[in-house]
Amino acid sequence: MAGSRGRRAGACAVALFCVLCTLLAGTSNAEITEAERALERSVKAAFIYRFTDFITWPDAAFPGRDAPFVIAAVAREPMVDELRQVVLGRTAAGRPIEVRRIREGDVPPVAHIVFIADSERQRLGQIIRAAPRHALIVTETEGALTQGSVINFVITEGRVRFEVSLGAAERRSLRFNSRLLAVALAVRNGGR
Amino acid sequence: MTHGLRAWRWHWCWALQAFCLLIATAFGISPAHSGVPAPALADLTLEQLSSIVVMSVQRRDEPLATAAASIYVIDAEEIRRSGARSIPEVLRLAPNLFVARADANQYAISARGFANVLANRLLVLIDGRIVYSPLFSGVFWEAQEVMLEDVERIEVISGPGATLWGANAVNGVINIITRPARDTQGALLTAGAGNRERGGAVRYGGPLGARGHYRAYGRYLERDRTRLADGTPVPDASDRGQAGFRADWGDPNRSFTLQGDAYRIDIEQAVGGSRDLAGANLIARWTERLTEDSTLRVQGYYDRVERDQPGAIRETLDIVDLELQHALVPRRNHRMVWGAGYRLASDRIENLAPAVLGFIPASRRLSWAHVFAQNEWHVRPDLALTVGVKAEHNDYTGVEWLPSARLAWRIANDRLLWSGLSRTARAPSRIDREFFAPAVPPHAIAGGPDFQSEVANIYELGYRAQHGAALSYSVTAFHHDHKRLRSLEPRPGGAVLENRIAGRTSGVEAWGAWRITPQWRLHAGWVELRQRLRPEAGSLATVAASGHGNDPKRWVTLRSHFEIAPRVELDLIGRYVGELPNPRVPSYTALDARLGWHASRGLELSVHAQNLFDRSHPEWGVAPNRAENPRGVFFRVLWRP
Repeated sequence: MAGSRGRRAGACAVALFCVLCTLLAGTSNAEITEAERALERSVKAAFIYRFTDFITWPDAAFPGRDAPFVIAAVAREPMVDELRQVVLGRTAAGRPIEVRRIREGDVPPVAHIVFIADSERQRLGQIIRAAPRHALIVTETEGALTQGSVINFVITEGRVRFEVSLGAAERRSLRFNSRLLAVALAVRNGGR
Repeated sequence: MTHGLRAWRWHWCWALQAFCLLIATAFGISPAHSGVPAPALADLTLEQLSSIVVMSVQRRDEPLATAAASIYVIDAEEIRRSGARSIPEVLRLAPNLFVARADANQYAISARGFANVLANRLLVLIDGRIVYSPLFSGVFWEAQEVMLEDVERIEVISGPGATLWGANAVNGVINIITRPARDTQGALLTAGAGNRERGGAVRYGGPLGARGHYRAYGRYLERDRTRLADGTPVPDASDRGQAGFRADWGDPNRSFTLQGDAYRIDIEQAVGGSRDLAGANLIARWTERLTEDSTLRVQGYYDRVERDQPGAIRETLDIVDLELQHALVPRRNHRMVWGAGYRLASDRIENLAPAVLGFIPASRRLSWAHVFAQNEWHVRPDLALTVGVKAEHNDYTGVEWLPSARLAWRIANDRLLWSGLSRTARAPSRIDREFFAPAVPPHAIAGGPDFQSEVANIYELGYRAQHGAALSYSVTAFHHDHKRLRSLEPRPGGAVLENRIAGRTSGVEAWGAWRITPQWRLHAGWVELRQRLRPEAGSLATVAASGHGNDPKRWVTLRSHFEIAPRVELDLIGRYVGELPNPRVPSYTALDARLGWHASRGLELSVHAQNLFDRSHPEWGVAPNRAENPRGVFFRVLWRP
């Protein structure tokens, strides 16, 4: 039947087209992955900055009225760069923001946010214990909340979300705005 | 009408040119993803940041699902890539469902056999609200609408969902879940037109107080008539409007949701010009995390459905439903869920054409109550035994017991073997007991005064595996033993409905997904179905006259999702459906295609063509007076400012 011959020709044309597209597709696997990682870093850096609008630090955390707001990043250069870009020209808690990169064994005496990248997961507990008393610990490693982290990034359904440990926040005298809790993926009360 | 063929060719040319233009432009666009500049991101709200997709579907490591059931999850990305604009068309994506289009608005949808426009063995829920009609225990697909752009996922379970879902979840459960209001903030506008349909939708979401979010939407769609095989138009055009809202408050430990919809649908029909459908519903849901391991959920809703069908009935149906569910960990390695519920329906019917058919009594109240418990016991870390039972009471047959047992063996991190044993029952609905044709004596069909529940014992064996991140598949073999199926017994005073047909249904469901390259994904599905039903000795009924399924022996689906360029998508969706025996519908192959272009951030243009190879083909009904599924094209704009 003419109809079925036409249909077969149509099917062949579509199949051929698909093959051509595979050959011509420019972007490689590696490029897309790298681009997605960059976006993930940008979104996390933006979150870290936005957290400062919804958390209140105790006065004891600031050595003076003009003391800057310090973000200490235990991470690789790309993430530190991202954080530096985000805070340009912005303030937190009414103070200018400083981003410091922390390398091995360099525990900051004053920090209000300590971000610990997943690459440092082996030293996670160690860094948290050495961190300043009132610092907000932000991590991106599974199970970090049980190690004392306050906010932990989680990727779920391709999006960056975060879980919060209220217990850890209370021990650090940090007060959370309920709007932040509403957006959180999970809020845990207990924990060490 | 000369309009048809010439206009169609014109549409084709337009589509082809637009397509070529898109390809040319796409290759000119720089392929490298540049990250959105950080300052812009830092100005977004927490909710907006939470909704940015940083990882495409291809890259995600999906953990192996451990459910001991034949379940297929249609996620939001699949819905978007399919180009589907109605729930039945989206359901074609589930390889374990049989979907046949009967006319512009009606569909026969089922799993594991017993397909019928009035199919009665699937439990369908939208956000926890049961959408089947107690008139016939089935779904009027023509009346169900949801904002597809805000659907999070659709869980399609083929096989008995009895313990958790109850009687009538005999052959499967379709659970449509929409996104919480927090994930649908901001505006969304979509509009489209094609040779068969035109319509649009708008949605807006915002915060509500300190800890809440809301969204509101409206949508409109009009559909043209379909045609018979010889080109005669069928009077089945329709237009529909629906609006709704959803509001969520709280945090993951304690949350409250209020949502509702209202709709009005006008469908053309041969008798009396048109049938009018209208309805509204309101759902309230409270979830509370009592302790680390224990969660309580309480839900109540009101659902009103009005149906005015000249030549048949005018119906007003009011339903109130209350449910409670508690999940807890009673002992180490045990996870238990138990619950109770009560449902009350007030069904007021006016028999508009008693000389043809009617319900006697016309109006009545129906109620259902249920209690269930299910426990999942991890005998070993890799072996889980789930045992459950539900007791459901209905006004016709009293209490039905629905036990089920499932065993899941996690052979390795990426391989699961499961088996299940269940007893299910389909309780009588109004059409089984109270349907008369004509409604005035002498009756040709005189109801079913002694109609009992149809029961089945179901045996299933399934295997699910994942090979790396690129390949995953699932195979399920099933055997259903049916007893007490509905049979139409000829009698001197009018045929009555009894339960004198028995038989079995067996088969295999298989599907898989293969990510060939990061830009190219293939999905395939295959179902083999063999059914043998026989009237018992002494019965004068016939299987076909008793309304039992007209099912194909197999259906196959094959989908290709391809990224021609970083922002251009080509989706090809093909299917083969075997011949339907009685009434006979020939087997067919159909191919749909969609081309989508993310023109800029938040703007998506797409063109969707259905039935590329055939001018039209029938999927359901009796020749020559059956509407055929026509070739169609639809151009669409989706904008999230």
